[in-house]
Amino acid sequence: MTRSVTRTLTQRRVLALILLLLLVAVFPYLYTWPFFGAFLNPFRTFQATRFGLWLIILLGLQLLTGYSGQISLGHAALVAVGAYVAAVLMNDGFMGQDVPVAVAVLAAGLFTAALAFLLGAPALRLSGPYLAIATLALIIALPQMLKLESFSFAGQEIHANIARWTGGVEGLLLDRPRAPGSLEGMVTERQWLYYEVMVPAVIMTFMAWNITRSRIGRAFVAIRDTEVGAEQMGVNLALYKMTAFGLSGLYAGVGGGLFAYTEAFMSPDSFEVVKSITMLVAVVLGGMASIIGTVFGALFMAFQNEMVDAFSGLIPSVGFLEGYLPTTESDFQRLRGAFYSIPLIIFIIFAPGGVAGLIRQVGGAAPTWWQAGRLRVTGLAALAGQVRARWRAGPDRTDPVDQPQDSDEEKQA
Amino acid sequence: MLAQLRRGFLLAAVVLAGLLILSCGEEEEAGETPAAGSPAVTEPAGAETPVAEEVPGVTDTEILLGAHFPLSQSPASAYAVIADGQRAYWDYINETEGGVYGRKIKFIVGDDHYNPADTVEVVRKLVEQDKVFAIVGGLGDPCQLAVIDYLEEEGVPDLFLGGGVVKFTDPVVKTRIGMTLDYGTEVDAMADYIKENYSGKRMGILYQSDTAGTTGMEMMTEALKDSDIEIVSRQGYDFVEADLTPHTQRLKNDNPDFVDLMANPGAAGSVIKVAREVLDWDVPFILSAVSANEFTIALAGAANAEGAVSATSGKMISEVDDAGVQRHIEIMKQYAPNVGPSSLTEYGMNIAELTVQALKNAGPNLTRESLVEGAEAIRDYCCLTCAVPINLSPTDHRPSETVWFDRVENGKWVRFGEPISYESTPGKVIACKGAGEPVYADEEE
Amino acid sequence: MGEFIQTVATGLSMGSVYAIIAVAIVLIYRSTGVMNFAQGEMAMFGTFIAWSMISYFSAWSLPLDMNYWLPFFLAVLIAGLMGAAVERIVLRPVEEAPVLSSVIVTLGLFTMFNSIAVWRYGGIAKPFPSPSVFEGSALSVGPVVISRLNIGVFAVSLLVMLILYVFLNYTKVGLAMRAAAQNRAACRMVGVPAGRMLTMGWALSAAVGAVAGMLVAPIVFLSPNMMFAALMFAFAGAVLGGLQSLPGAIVGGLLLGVIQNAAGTYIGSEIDVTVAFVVIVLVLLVRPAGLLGHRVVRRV
Repeated sequence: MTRSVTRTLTQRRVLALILLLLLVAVFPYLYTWPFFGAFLNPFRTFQATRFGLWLIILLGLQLLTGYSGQISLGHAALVAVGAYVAAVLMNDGFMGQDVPVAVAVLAAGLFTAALAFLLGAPALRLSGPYLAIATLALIIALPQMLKLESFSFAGQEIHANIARWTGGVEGLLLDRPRAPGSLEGMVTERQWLYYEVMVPAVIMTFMAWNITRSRIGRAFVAIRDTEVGAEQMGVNLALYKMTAFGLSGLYAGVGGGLFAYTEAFMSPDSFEVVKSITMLVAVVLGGMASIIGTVFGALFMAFQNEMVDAFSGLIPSVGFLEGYLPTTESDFQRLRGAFYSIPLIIFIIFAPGGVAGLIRQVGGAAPTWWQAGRLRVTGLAALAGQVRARWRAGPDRTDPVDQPQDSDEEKQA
Repeated sequence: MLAQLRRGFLLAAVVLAGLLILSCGEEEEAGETPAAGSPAVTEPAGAETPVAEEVPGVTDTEILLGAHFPLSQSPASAYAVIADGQRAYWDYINETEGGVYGRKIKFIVGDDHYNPADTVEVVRKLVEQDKVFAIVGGLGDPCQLAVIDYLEEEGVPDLFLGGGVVKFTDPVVKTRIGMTLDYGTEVDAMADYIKENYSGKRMGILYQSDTAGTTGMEMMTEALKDSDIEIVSRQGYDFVEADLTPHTQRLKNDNPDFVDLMANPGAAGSVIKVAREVLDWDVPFILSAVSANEFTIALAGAANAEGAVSATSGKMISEVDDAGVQRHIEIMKQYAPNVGPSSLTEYGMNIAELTVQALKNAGPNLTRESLVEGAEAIRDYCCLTCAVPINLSPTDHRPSETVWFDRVENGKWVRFGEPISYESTPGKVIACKGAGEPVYADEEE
Repeated sequence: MGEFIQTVATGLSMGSVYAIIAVAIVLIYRSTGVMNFAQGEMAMFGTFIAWSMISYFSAWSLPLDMNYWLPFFLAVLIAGLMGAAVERIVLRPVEEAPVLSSVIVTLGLFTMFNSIAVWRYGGIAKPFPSPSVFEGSALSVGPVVISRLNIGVFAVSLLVMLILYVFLNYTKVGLAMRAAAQNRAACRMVGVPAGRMLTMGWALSAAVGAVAGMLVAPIVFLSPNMMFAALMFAFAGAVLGGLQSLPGAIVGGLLLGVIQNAAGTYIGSEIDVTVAFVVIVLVLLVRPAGLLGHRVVRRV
C-alpha cells in the first residue's frame, strides 16, 4: 500500500481548517442558536466529548498500526493503565499533595508512554499475528492483574496487592469533575468537560498530523512497508518501533486519563478484550494511515449504538415472517450484534480502505473496485460468471487464468 | 488532484451530515424542559414540581421507562431475557388494564455490552435524549456503579436495579431502589445456615472473580471468622474460563467437607458435574442464590445436583401447579412468544409488577418523586412468582430481604423449612402462594 | 508428585481442545495469512446445528449410538459447507485488500454468528450429550483421575491431526492445498485452481472446528459464548506452536493447557490466564516464530 504521505497546504485548506476549528470551539454553545437547536442539545455535547476521547485514543493506535504496521490488539490495556494512573493520582494525590487534573492526565500519558516504549522491546522480534497475539495477551491478562490481591509462588504467599490501588473488582469512584471556581457560571459542567477533552484532542491531532509528515512519520511508513529496505536506508528499526509503541502509549494514556476524569469511574471491565478489538475495527473502518480516517473511526466508536439503531430501523416488521425474520422488540434486541456486524462486513468488502479510502476513491485519487482492472469482481458475481463460462465453453474449458498478483501476495506464503 | 481531494471532502461532509441527521432522534419531546441547557447540578427532580409542569417521560397517555442491558458482545447477554419478562408484563397491563391511570408503559432498552464505559453513554442517552421517566431494572454491578452517581444527581429514579453491591442500597438514596438479594444479606443468610448445619467442618469456596463472587467470598470469610468453620480452599475463576475441571480438582485436593459455589449457573453446573462424574466426589454443595434455578440442574445433571442447597425468594418455573407460575407462563406465551419462560423472565416480571404497583401507589399525579414514594409504600406485597413478600419503606430500599432455603430433590428445587426474614421493615405476611396470595403468620401453610 | 502428574494430565485434556481449534486456525492462516476470529463462532454454530439434529433424531432409537454420530457427521458436513460459503462470498472480495481488512471481516462474522445463535437458540447454556463411548465413570491410572470424555477429546485431536497429515502429505488434493498455501501465483500458473483450494481449506477448517465444538460442548455446555475463551487460548496456542506449522498447533495448544493448569495449581487460580500469557510472550521472545515455526523469508 503506497500512497504519498505529504499533502500540500493550500490557502483553501487552511481556511477550511480554521472554519473547522471555529466550529469545534463553539460547538457546546451551538444548540442555543435557533437553527442548531433542532438537532443539537447538551447530550450531543456529551457525545462530542466522547468523540474527542476516542479520537485521542485511536490516534495512538493509528500511529502504531496504521502508520508503523505494528498490529496491536491490546491498545485498550494501555488506555486502562493510563486511566488508572490518572484516577489514582486524582484520588489519592501524590506524596500527600493534591494533583490537578491536567497534571494527572499528563503524568498518566507519560507513564503509559514509558511503559509502552519498554513493551515495544519484545515487539521488535515479533511481527504480524505473533505481535497481535502478544498484545492480545496484554489485554486479556490486565483485568486479572488489576484485581490482584495476592498470589503464591513456590509456597510463599506474595502480597502484591494491586487491588488496593485500583479498587479491585468494584473499581474506582472519583469525584465529579467540576469547572474551576473562576469559570463558574460561564460554563456548565458538560461544556467544561467538552473543552477539557477537545483542547487536548485538537492539539494531539495536530501533533499526530505533524509527526506523520516528519522524519519520524516517514520512518514509520518505511518500517511498515519494508523493514529490510528501511534498515538499508538507515532507519534504526529498534528505536523507531519502540517510539511507535511509546507514542501510542502517550495517546492512550492521555485518552485514558481524560476518560477517567470525565466518567469519574474506572473499573477493570471498562476496557477489555472486546473493546480493544473494536478499537482496531474502528481504525480500519476509518481508514488506515490517515488522520481523517481516525476521525471517522472515532465517530464510529462514539456513535456505534445510534448507527446500529438506524440499521435495525430499516428492517420491516412483517407478521407472517415471524420466526424467520426479526419482527418483535425482543428479536431486535437479540439481533443487535448482527445489525452491527453485517453492515460492517458489507462496508469493508466494498471499501477495504475504510472511509478515508472511499474519500480517496471518490476524489479520484485511487481506483475503485470496479475501475481497477486488476481487482477481480468476486463473490457471487464471480460464481455466476464461472457457471456461465462453463456452460458456454463445454466440458473442456478449465478455470480462467487470473491476472498475476503483485508482490504483496508472495509475502504471505 | 486538489479538485479530487475537495470532492472527497465534500462527500465526507455530506456523509457526516447524513450520519448526524440519521442518528438524531425523533424521540425529542415537543416541549423541551428548560433544564436542558442549565448546569447539570439540578435540584432533586420533582422537589417543587407542580402538576402542570412537564415531567420527563410522562404524558397523559404514556410513561416512558428505560434500562440498560447487555444485549450483544458479551457473555452476559444471556440475561437480556429479563428485559423481555419486564416488557411482556407491561404489555399485558397495557392491554388488559389500559396501562396505569390511563397511561401505557413503553420500555426502551439500551445495549451497554456489559461495559461500564458504554453504560454511561446508554444511560445518558436514555435520560437526556429519550427523556425516560425512570430507569427500571438496569443490569450489571460494574455497569450500575458507573451511573449511580449521575442518576442520583439528575434525580432520575433508578428502580429495581439488577445488582447486589451493598452500597447500592446502603446508605439509602432516595431515588435508587435495589432488587436482587444484596450480597450482604445473602452472605448473612448463608453464613447462618452454614453455622447451623456445618459446625466444626471444613469449607471450600469457588468464586467468580467479579464483583459478586469476590465480594461474596470476602464477606463470607469475614462472617465465618469467629466461628468454628475453617475455610480450607478458595478457588477463583475468571468468567472466560468455561472448563472448571482444574478448579474442582484443586478444591478436592484441599479436602473440604462442603463447598460453597459463589458462581453463576454455568460454572456451578460444571463444578458439580465434574465433581460427581469425573472425580467421584460426593461433597455437599451450597449454591449462591443466582444459581438457584433450573439452569444449574440442567447443566449439572439432575442426579448430580441432588441435595444441593441454596436460598431463593421466588417460585421455580417448574412449579406448574402454582397459579402464579401458571399466570406467568400464560403472559409470556401471549406477549413474548419467542421467549421461553424461565427463572430469568420470572425475575423480570417481578420487577415489572413492582413498578406497576409503585405507579398505582403514586396516583394519577405522576412525578418522579411520587413514583419513588409509591415504591416505598409497597408493603406485604406478593408478586405472581414471589415465594416471600416484598417490603419497602423510606429507609428500606431492598425488596428482597427474606430468603427461603431450598434443596434439589428429584431434579427440582424444593423449598424446605420456613422463610427466614432479614427484613428491616417486617410486615404481617410471611410467605406468598398462588397468584399473589399472601400467607399470614397465623395461617397454616 | 501425584498432584503434578494430575495437573499435567488435566492440562493436557484442556489443551487438547485448544489444540483442535488451533489446527483449524493454522489451516486458514497458512493459506491466506488471515487470522480467523470467526473460527470459534462457526464451530459453535455447527454445534448448535448438531444439537437441533440430535434432538430431532432422539425420537428414533438407532443402533450403535447413531442418535449421536449421525448428527455429528451431518453437522461436520454442514459446517464444512458453511465454511466454504463464507470463504467464497465474504472472504474472497477482500483477498486483494490488506490482511487487516480480512481480519475485520472475520471479526464481523464472529459477532454475526454469535448474534444469530443468540436469536435462534437463546443465550442460556444448555447441556450437550457426549457420545456413549465416552460416557461412564472416570478412569483411574495410578494417581491420575481423568474422565473418558477428556481422553476422548485428546484422542480425537490426535486423530484429526493424523487424518490431516495423511491428507495433506499423501494425496493429490492435499498437495495442491499445500501448494496453494505456499505460492498462489505459481499455483495458478501450473493449473492448480488456487481459489478452489482456498475454499477447501476453509471448509476443512470449519469442519475441524465443528468437531472441536461438539467434543467440548459436554464440558463447557452449549451456549453462543462457549467458544469465546477457547478461541483466545487456541490463538495463543497456535502462536506458541508456530502459525505455519500444524503439528505446532497441537503442541502449542497442549502446552498452553498444561501451563495454564500448572499456573492455577501452583500460583493461584485467579491469575492462571495471566501467567499463561506471560509464558507465551516469553517463549515468543526467544523463538519469534513459535516453537515449531520457521522464520518466513520476506522479499524486499
